[in-house]
Amino acid sequence: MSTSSSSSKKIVLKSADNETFEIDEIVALESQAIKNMIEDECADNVIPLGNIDSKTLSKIIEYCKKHAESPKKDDNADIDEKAVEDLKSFDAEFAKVDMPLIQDILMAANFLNIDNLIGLMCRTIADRIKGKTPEEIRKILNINKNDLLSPEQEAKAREENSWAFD
Amino acid sequence: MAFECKTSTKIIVSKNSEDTAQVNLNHIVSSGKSLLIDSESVITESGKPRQSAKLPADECLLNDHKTVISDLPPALISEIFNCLDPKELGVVSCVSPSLYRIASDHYVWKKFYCERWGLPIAVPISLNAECSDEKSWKELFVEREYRSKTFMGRYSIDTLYGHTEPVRTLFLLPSRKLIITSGYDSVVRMWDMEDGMSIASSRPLGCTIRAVAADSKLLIAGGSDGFIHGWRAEDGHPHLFDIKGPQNQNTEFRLWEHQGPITCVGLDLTRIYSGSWDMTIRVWDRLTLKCLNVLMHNDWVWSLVPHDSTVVSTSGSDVYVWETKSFSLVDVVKDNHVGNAYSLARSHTGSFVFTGGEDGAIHMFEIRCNSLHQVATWGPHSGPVYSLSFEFPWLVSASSDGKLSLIDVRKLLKNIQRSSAKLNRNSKNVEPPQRMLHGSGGSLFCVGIGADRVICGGEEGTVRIWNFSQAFEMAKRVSALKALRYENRMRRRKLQNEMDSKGSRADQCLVAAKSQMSGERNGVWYNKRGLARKVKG
Repeated sequence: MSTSSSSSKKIVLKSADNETFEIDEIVALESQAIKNMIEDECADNVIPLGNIDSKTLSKIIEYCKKHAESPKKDDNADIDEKAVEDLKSFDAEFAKVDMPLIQDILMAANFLNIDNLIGLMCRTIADRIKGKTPEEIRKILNINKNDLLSPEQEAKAREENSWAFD
Repeated sequence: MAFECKTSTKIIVSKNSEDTAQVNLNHIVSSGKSLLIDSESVITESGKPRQSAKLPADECLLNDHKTVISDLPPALISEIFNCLDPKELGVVSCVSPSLYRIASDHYVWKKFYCERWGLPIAVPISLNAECSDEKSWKELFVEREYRSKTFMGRYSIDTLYGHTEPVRTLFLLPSRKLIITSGYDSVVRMWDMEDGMSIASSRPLGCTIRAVAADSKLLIAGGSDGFIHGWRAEDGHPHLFDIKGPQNQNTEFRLWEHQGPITCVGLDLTRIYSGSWDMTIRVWDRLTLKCLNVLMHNDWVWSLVPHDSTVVSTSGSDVYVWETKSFSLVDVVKDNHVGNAYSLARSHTGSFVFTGGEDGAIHMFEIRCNSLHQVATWGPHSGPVYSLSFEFPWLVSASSDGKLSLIDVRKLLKNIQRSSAKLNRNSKNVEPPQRMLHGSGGSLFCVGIGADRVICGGEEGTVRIWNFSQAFEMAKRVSALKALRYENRMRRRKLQNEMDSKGSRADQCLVAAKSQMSGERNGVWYNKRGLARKVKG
């Protein structure tokens, strides 16, 4: 899963399961955390990411690549509408993955400090639990049974929030 | 129905072998139903234990991933909750203890509250000191949300007599429980909102008063002779303003600069705004009382509402948006109504504008990117709409057909948020008003909403108050009773549980069912009744 394009500087990322990803520096700079590392010059060859597996990491790189390629909003005011639309549809497409992966990506994005991606994942999760019942949300979010409200607590929460259910 | 399996039985699921990580029995979720599988005991629907619990792989979905929502740092969960609206947040808080905590204490509740109603009216500190249990923003929000429903409930009517001619204008100052009214008889009157008693009336000001406005520092009235009459609040005065007394140089003033009758006035923290049939709005400094600027219109100015950095006004049949730092015109919507656009109201954030016109129509606009976008139109009246007032989520209108309409805009706002990307102008098939109130005959000229009340003045010189606060009190009593009953029930159940667990083991099934209820699982299967109750819970 390594990529190569001509001259620019490369960064190598290593996932938890020891897979390496070679990417352009510009792509890696989408991550504020890696950017800081590079600036502090403590990213000489391989950056190990011990808490991100390869599946998640490849998704994140896919995202960073796309966003690194497309023009930045604050660069100039007259970026063409098409690029914005294109990026939007990419984001929408990108978010069409299952919930555990979304949560993994969110965790990793948080670790790597990629603001746009955090926002996108949060919105995606929020969109998925909108208009659902608590039972459905539990299922969607894989709430584990040790993390359930006791019947008393649940009844209390329901009572408190009864206004939200009609 | 629930599928369950014993802890002792090994479950092998060959599906989903992408990740060879540990299989966590606790994470099995039945795919078809929304019930969690309890991995401790097996029971079929008939209540008989099922010995070999090898679940078909397609019936259960294995969570083989390590990240679950509760592993996310609270800050991230907060971020997710930021994308939800109040109702959704309420639902989410019933999901799990950690989500409950995060959702209930979330800072967006303050935002939700303030963008609907602004900061709550502060309780005097002396009173506040005694009740130390300060309410959370969520509680405040829920109470207020609940309160807004009472406008669909039972009301009582008060009628205030005093004006000798039609009442043209009124202002409600809920923080001081004051109603200020005036009209053709040129007298400004103050009333107590709670008991409906007349507090004071001014001497005749010499001409029709078409506009009044007030806050805790200043009361102003605009006259048809083109002057603004103002009273400054007096320290220690029980009703802020001494309008009764003789002319007092220190607290009273008059501003003469308009060339025609004043139709509307407004206040913000630093300025006074006045609109007139001389086709201008004048902006005054509150302290120096100097006119800072004149905003020119193409027709008679009918109404204005300042908010933050903009003023919205209606002139002729057009709607104007002005920017108040540079006093520049931001946007105009021409020929908004057939005939004059008499009335105007704005939401608390200022981003939604409502206009009412001679044609009986009410339009709603959203101010987005410095321009007005039409959102909805209603036509509940058969005569001109003379006045509008808005308090989330209610828009109330008063018309010459003698009726008030109450419109709930909540659904509409939700749809706007959903389709914020593309708002088509033809999405005008909105809900009709939720409620119509009838005046006592004759035209209605002015209306106000706030503090569980709708107040209106009209042709026959009376002020009417529809008081919905009893509906709220009643609903509160009912829900308090409900909570009490519920608490008792829980206490009884707990007591019973304790007694049962001490008592004989004869009725083992029942004991198991009950201990299941109280959350301690001792590995014994529970019977059907217990299940049913659990599901209900």
